[in-house]
Amino acid sequence: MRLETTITDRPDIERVEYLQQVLEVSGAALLREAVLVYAWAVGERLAGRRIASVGETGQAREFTSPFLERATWLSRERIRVSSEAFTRVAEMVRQPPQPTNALADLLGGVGESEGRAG
Amino acid sequence: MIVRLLRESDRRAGFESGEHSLDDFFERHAWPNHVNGISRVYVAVEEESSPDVLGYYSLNAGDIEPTKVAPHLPVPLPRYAMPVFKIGRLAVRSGVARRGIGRRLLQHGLRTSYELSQRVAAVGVVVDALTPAAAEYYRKFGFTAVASDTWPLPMFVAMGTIRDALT
Repeated sequence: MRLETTITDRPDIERVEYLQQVLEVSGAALLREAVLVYAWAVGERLAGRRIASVGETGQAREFTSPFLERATWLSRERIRVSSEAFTRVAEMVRQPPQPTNALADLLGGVGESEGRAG
Repeated sequence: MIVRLLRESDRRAGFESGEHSLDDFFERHAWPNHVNGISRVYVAVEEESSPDVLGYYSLNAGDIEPTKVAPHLPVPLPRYAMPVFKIGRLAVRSGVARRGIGRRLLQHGLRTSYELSQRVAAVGVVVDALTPAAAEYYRKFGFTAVASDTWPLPMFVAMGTIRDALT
């Protein structure tokens, strides 16, 4: 596979030059490494984990990017809510509220389910 | 009109619901997700063999969990994650609105979730409301917001409530 790109934005050029200098690698090696790291990051997000750096004191800084967040579309959903909201959910699970009229109407007609494997 | 699982031959390009994120998902991610078992995608079509999709929804398993360990909860419920089914996206094609397609998709999603919950544990169903109007729509069916000022807004209905509506 041949992959070519042209970088024109000055900040991007400086970023690439900086990385090549620090890591002492060619552009091709840098690209391979970047893909490797990015594939790992996407894999972590797919598994529902977050990407973060942790300092000596244990303080974490999370890394996000719009493209990386697309990976969360593919992951098992983790719906994070406040403790208060979680408690409300738990109470609804323990004691389910009565169906609203609209819900009873929506689901009341037995035999209307038409799901089929396709 | 029927609701069935997405097929590779179903027309996905050019699907327009008026909500870009839902259209983009359907065109680019729905089939890979579906075929790889990451989420199941159901479509509303006029007839079983029709490739013209009127609307769709995605369904997958998930967990609802507190950002911090929850305070004391009514026993015997866990203080950590609880399994749910998630209707992640639900969209109706522009131009075919007001035919009850969204309603039919929601009905199918809730019934499917309930049927699955007889074999795979889940305490309820979560939907994401993209707009206040969508939140109001789901609220009519008994969904309760589990966040505030967050869009999309996650909304929950207990499986026991769904069961009671079915029986």
